[in-house]
Parts: sequence; structure tokens; C-alpha cells
Amino acid sequence: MKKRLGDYVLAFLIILILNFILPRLMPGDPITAIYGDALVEMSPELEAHLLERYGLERSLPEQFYLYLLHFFQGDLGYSFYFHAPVSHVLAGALPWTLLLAGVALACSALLGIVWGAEAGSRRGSLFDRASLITALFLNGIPGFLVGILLLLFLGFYAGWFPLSGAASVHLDYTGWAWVQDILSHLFLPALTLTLVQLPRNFLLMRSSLLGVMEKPYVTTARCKGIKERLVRYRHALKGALPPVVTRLGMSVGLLFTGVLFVEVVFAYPGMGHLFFLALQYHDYPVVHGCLLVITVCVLMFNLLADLISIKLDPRLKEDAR
Amino acid sequence: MLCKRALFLAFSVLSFFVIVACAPDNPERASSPDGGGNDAVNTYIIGDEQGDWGYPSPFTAYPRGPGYIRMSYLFDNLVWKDADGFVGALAEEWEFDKEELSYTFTLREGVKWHDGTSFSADDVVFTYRYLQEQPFPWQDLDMIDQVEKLDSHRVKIYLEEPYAPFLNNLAGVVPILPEHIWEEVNNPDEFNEPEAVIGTGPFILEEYRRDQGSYRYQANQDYYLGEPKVERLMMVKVSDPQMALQQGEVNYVRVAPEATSALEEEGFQVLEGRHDWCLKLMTNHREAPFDEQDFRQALAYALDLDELVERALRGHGLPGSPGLISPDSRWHCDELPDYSYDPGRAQEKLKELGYTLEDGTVRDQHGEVLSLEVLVRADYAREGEIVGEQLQQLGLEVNVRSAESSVVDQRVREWDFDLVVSGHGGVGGDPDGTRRFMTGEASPHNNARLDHQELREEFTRQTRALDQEEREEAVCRIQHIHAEELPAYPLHHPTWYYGHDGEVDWFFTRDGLGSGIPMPLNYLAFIE
Repeated sequence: MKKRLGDYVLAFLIILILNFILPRLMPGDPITAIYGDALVEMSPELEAHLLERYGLERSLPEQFYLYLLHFFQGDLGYSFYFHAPVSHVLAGALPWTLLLAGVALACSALLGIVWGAEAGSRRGSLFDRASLITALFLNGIPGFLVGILLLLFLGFYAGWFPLSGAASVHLDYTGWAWVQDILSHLFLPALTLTLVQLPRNFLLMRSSLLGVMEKPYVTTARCKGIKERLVRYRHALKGALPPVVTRLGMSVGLLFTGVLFVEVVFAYPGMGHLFFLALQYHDYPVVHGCLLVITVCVLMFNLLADLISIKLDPRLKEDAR
Repeated sequence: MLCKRALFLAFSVLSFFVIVACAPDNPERASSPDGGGNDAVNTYIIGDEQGDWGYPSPFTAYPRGPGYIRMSYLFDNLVWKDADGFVGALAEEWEFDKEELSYTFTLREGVKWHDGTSFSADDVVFTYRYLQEQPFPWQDLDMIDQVEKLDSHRVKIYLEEPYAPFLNNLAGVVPILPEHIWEEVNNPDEFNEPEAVIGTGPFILEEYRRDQGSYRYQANQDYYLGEPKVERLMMVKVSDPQMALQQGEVNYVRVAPEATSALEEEGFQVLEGRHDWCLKLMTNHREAPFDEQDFRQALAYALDLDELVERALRGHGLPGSPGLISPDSRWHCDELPDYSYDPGRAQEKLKELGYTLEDGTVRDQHGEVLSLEVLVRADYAREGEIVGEQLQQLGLEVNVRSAESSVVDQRVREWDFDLVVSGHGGVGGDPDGTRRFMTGEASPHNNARLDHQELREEFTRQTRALDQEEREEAVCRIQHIHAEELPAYPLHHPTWYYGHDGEVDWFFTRDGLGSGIPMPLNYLAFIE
């Protein structure tokens, strides 16, 4: 396990460095991006003031040193564009993304596992074939299209759900009404993201189970006269889950990419939208903050998946030592 | 066991959503055109795709039109504008003294800040002095010599030199700040406290939520011009403007040109915007062959702007005017050189320059095919293709490349291009603002940076002209020079549309809001 933790620390350090370099490799500069199309003429004094204010007049090594120094002091910096501390800006967006991504991850994982297990254990049946076709079809539709279709039919024509945002901002709901409001805003984006993730989880679970169902220990269990359902879920699933869990952990990175599109379609105020704006305006501190938070999330989910896999498959424990 | 638990969990999550889905509709909605406006709390909602335009203090609002507008509902200037021109705001009257180069403003009495403190001449003097020291993102205050308080309700502002657009660009742009709040503030762009948005304006900020991109204002019942028509004003983020308007989620929103006829059929009102934004073909006029004026003119004759407007904008726009100033601006000069599509003329010009035209290909004196690159901002790729096509018809070898705006901006700044299709706003407001697109070194990414003695002189003349006729003459001359030199050829001005339910009578402000924002959202529309 120690070696693994070491890997994570190394990955984090590399990302920390890339995080500094990549945004600065983008063509263009923050001042033009933020003030370029502004109403006013950029006077030399204003430009000098802004450069100094954002620390952009310093040399790159100096900027890098300050970036690391502030980072280890727990200070994420001050946003050029939002005129606010980066931590505040992130704190406004992160909870929404975690809510959206968390709900979608949980739903798509649970549904994918159950659906995949049911289909995989009845290989070749009508249910299995129908499921496979549905999953492949869903897998082929881009996420944003799913989102737009849901928005159009369930949001606009049916009018069942709000069209955008994460909450009715202008109303001071409390208690149950507040929860209901949040959930009704969450429903369409979460459904979109779930539908996008689901087929992959289904396919993986199904194929993993297919491999296990042939194993002698499953045949043994069957021969002992254990009910088919118990064989499927108590014996076979246990063997089939570890690769699925590992993949789920790894897919969190992809999930965040999916969140970006979904947030744009539903104007959901999360990290994806924030990251997009920060890139557009070359707001380096916010770009750093976003990438950092996303990286930490992805690494943590990977770690979590590793830990769960070890729990599920004790053989991995030996490897990890 | 695992199965049952998983199934149960999945089921409960699903049923939870179903319950929520079946919950009654959002109880409070903006009034729809046939619906209402009779709510107990009379709320007006303005929708916008970006949502967040910064905390609406003068220093933290983002330096774009919508940011300024959100601030203008809270802070008053000395003067403001309606559809026909200047009207008093915090100043009731003003007087210009040509000899002294000074403006004397007579201030309104009995005005109160949102926190109940009385507004006075000291606040005006403080604001102008404060903004001279602190970098103010909306306007440079360099032309002000000094500000003096004459008595409790009169202020005199002395100018360094004559400055014709003073009312438009300064008195009408600078928000007056309460001295008792800002005197202690040393870093105004980090001042995010509730006090930072206390002004004298028609609305009071109740809530700003950056994450949601939403603003909630309460009417200022003590407003000196009268109480606003609505009790509550909100600005919210929407994902699809047209749907949001049709669903009654908002009362006002900018809509796509394609949506306008459907909206009008449903009883919504659609306003057609002024043409303040311009797409132009910039030339690298410091290098051959673009350094020849005739060559640049030949390119202009080869471009069919009507076709461009028809194909790229589906007719929702105006062809550009070679003088850069928008054709529907009151400053537009009527008698400018005409570059109507004339391929014959374009070929003639090329021949005069020594180029030969064989088999539909233009070759230079050495027999080499004339080949050039058109670099275009990705959001105007369609226009870039059409321009490329039209130049190819002239016989040029054209390579059209589209790139992200920051790439295009950087290459323009460094003179690393042949032709660039790019654009900017600010061609429909006060003409002083067009200087930075024609000459000098300011905003180099969209400035033609023409080094032209007379052009510079005419700009100085119009700035200093205290007589309107003289100013118009200088502005006309400026457009002439631009049209003859053609360092950049204005291609088109897209038309913007605004849909609303008719609850408020929106109008367009002369020369734009503040220093020239071309949107209808003037707060005076809320005042009876």
C-alpha cells in the first residue's frame, strides 16, 4: 500500500507542475482576454496596474516559486476575472459538481451493475440481446445531445422540470421545499449524465460476469443446489466486481469531462462552467484551482476504488504489499 | 443480499426523483404576456446566457456592457441619457464655461444613499478625486484638471484641455460613490463588502450569487425621479433564452434572429438592436502587397458584402461602412467612397499595380502566383470562408485558417498575418471611442494602427471641438480617411434582437448606455 501511496504523491507533484505550465502555454494573455473587448481604452497606467496587481510582471520562475509557496501555504490566490479569492469562487461551484457527479456516479454504477449482472447471467436470452442493443445505442449518442433532447421534451414541452440552473435563486425556500427545489433542478442533468455513464458500466459488468460464470467455483455452487439467484449475486458477482470497481474509479476523470458538457447544456453552475470561463479569460489562478480540485477528486476516487478492490479481492492485498 | 440492497437503493433513489417530478410547479414565475403581472410582489426578470457579470460595484463588475448595466441600476452618475440625449441624474443642471474650460453642476437636493445617509457635493468631489488616483476600469480621468466644491449643492470640474465628449464619456459614465464608505478603501477592486454596492440609484442590491449567476434588486422607494415600476428586479442565467421567455421564466432576454418571428406570433415584442458591433477584414498594411492603398481598395471591390450578409447572417445585419462608424449611427458620414462589389474595378486596380491576370490567376511582376492567408476568429469561420471564396474569384490563391480568438489576437498584435477577419464593438457610440480601432497603439489586437498624420490631427480636432458642427465635420473627415486608406475593411454589422413581454417599454439610448453600450436596458424604462 505504501508504494501505491507513493505513486499517488508522485502523480500529484507532476500534476502540480503541469498545472502551472499548461495554462501559460495557451496563446494570449489575461489582460487582453479580460479587458480586450471591454468598453474602455486600456491606458498604459491601467495596464501596468493590472500587471502588477496580478503579479504578471514577474518572471516565470518567480511566478512558479510564488505559485508553489502559496499552494503549500494553502492559499489558492486571487482571481483576475472574478475579483474574489479563488477559494471562494471554487466553493461556490464545487458542491454543485460533486452533487451532480456523485448522484450520476452512484446511479449509473448501481443500475449498471444490476442490469449487467441480470443480462450477463442470462446470456443469449431475449432480455440480454435487447439490453445489449439498448446499451450500444445509448453509448453511441453524445452526452450533450441526450441533454438537449431531455431538456426539450421533459423540460420545455412537458414543463416538468426547470430548464436551467441548480436552484430557484430568487426564492428563499427552506426545509423540504428547498430540497425539492434542488432535486427538481438536479433531475435532468443527473439523468443525462447517468444515461451517458450507464452503458459503459453495463457492458463492463456483463462481460466481467460472463467470464466468471464459466469458472469452476460457480459450477460447484450450482451443483451444491444453491438457488440460481444466490449463485449469481453471492458467488459470481463477488468475483466479477473488482475489475468493474477499478474501472469505475478510473472513469471518474471521464465523468468530470461529461459534467462539463452537461453543465453547459443545463446552465448548471458547477466546476465545468467555471473552468470554461477561467480558460476563456486566461484566469490562471482559477484554472489552477479548478485543475487542482479535479485532480484531487480523481486521485481520491482512484484510491477509493483501489481500497474497495482490495476489500473485494483479498489476493490484491498480497500484490499491494 | 447485495442484489436486494442495490435494487432497493436504486429503487428508492428513483422513486425520490419521481416524487419530486410530480411536485407542483415552480410557484413563482415571471408574468407571461397573456398571464399577469398582477402578482403581489411585482417582479421583473432579465435573462442572460452568461449570468455572472461580477459583484456590481464600480470596481468589481466585469468590464463589459452587462457588467456596467448591473452597476448602473445601483449607482447614479451626474448625468444620464434617454432616447434623445442627456438628462439630469444627480445633477439637475449643468453649464459649460468655454473660457475657463469648466463644467458647473447643480446637484439635486434631498437625495439619500441606500443606507439613509444624505448625498452631498462632497461625495462628487471625493469620487472624481478618488478615481483619478485609483485605476478606474470604465474611463480614464486624465483630462480633468481639478474638482472644486462651490457650495453644498454645486460642484465645478475644470478640464486640462477642451474635451468634447465630456458629458458622454465622463459625467455620464462615472458613478458617484459615497465618501463615507469609500474614503477608507485602498484596494477598491478587492472591496467585496455589502457597503461596496451602496449608491443612490433606482434599485438596491438584495442578493448577488456568483455561483448561480443571479442578481436580485429591490426597488429604491425613495428614488428621486420616482419609485420604479417594479418592486423587484432580477437578472438570472438561462441556458436557452428563447425557451426561457416562452416558458415565462424571464420577461426579457436577447434572442437569436431565427427565434424572432415565432416569438412575435406568440405575442412577445421583439426589439431590433442598433448596430454597434463590426466584423472587419484587417490588412497587414505594413508589408507588401498590403502596403499599397490601391491593393487594399482592390480587395474591397472584390468583396460582395450584400452576399456576405445574406449568406453568413441570413440577412440579419448590415453591410459595413468603409468609414468604420456604423451606418445607423448619428455620426455616420453619408458621402464616403463607394466600394460596392465590382470585380472589374478590382482587376483594373491590380493591373495598374503591375499584376497580370492569366487563366483567372493573379501573378506578380516575377510571374509568381499571388497567394495569401486569411486568418479568422473561429466564431466567424463562416464569414472567413465566404471572404476566401470571393477573393479566390478575383484570382488570388487564398488559404483560410480559423483559430481561437486569443491566437488571432496575438498574431494581429505581432503583425504576423496577411488578412484577418475579426471584430469589435464600439462603432455606434460616441466617435471618440473609435480612435483606438484606427490609430495609436492602444488595444493592438483590433486596432488598425494606421500611422497617418491627418487622421491623428482630425481625432484631436473632434476631441477638442466645442462646436457640434465642427465636431461632425472632423468625424466625417476621419471616416473619409479610413475609407480611403482602408487599413481594415468593415464587412458587416450583425443585428441583435431582444425579446420581451411588453411589461416595460424598453428603448434605445442615444449613442448607447454609458459610454456606448448598445443594449436597451436603460433603468429609466422602469421610472414612470
